[in-house]
Amino acid sequence: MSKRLREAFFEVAGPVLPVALVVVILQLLVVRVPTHLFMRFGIGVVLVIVGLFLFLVGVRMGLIPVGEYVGSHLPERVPAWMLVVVVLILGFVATVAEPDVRVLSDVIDSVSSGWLTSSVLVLVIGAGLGLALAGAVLRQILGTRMALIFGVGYAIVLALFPFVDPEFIAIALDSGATTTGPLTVPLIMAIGLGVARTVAKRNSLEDGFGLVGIASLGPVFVLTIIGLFA
Amino acid sequence: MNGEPIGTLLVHTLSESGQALGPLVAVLAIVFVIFFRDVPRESLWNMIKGMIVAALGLTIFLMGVRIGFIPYAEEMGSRLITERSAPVVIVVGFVIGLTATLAEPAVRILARQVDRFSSGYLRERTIVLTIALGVAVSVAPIMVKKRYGIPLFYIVGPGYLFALFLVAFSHSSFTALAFDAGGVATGPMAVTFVMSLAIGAASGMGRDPATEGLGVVALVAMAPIISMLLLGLVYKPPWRREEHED
Repeated sequence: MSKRLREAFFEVAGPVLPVALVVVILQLLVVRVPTHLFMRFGIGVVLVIVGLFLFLVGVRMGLIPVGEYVGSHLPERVPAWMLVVVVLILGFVATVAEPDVRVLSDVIDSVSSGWLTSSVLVLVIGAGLGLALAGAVLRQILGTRMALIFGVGYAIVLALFPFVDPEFIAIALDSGATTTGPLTVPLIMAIGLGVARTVAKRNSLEDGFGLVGIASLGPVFVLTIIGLFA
Repeated sequence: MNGEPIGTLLVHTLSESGQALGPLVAVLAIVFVIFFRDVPRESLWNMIKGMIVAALGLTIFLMGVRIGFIPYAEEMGSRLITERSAPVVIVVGFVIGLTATLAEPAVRILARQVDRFSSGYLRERTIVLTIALGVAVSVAPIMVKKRYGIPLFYIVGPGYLFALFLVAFSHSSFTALAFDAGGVATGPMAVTFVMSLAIGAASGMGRDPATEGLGVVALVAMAPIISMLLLGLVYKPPWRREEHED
């Protein structure tokens, strides 16, 4: 019984314990942060463990089945282009709704000379991600090589960078990572795996993964282009 | 952030999760109503419950990060920079970057899905550790960059060129995984710690902390791409996924 309990505890708390332990060691040996902050950190650790556990359970129960449903059953019922459109809308909506994207747009608004308002930027970033995600699903159906997508994509972005304001380069690259939040990642991933299983009928990792990576490339691309004129 | 009351934080975080989840659920609901009317009630109900649990879990997780981790990391960042030498800071940054990434929600999801999809050929632990090592290694250039004000392009340019060079020699599966890894590594946990160290380093040099956060996420995202591609050179492709039901 106690062994089982211990296993369950480590299963749940395992991912969070290392960082908590490192902080305790730092607090004792390297830097002394005021005690009240250290106490708050303790509360934070408990919340993070509980939250992460619930999140992972919920993702397994809800988001992954939903994503796999869309990815694997939708293509059986509608033509492929419809699947691509649904994915485009999903990507757009998820991005526009992501709170971090709004924060990012406000930053861009304040850095650029203001000819693009932050609410327009949110839409532009959302469109960038939606299109890239739709492109990623199209890639799965067509079987285009991964290396080609990332090679060409990043080569273009890198080639444009010398003409873009350095601050904008930072914003563009940050945006790619910011736009894919913890709720959208499992959904995107499950859709990809569903499509790989049913449409592409192939089963190497190349066919199922890479959607998150391609999706992140979308906003980077769009913002780099905008940066050329900012 | 330091003194923000917990009640305000709770409301704020809850509304954030709601905002992120709400529209997504709305679109999914439309998709299901149009195309999947025949889904059994029970499994539909399970999916809805799951999404609510996931959003609730994420809210509690973010609460924990905001109540405990961010104030602590900011204070530690600025003290570390002012009180300790650069090598100590980089070592601490390495260890923190490594361990914080282990607790990153999206990293877990990616690793589990890869483990499942490859029937355990690529273990969850291997994936998580590779991404975490990438983030950990990225801390050093971030600190050096902030310290000496090196333009981001001089790091990102060669970094992505090296990544593309590796792509040329990599199995496509690892190319796909690598760029996914870049997207998932930059979650609330890793970014919190790395960002606070970077801002601490920059404000120690008397620069404007408002713009100093820029580009940090980009570097955190780039490193796991490279570390996953390097992992791919060690593994022997191609492999076959055994068909299995789960």
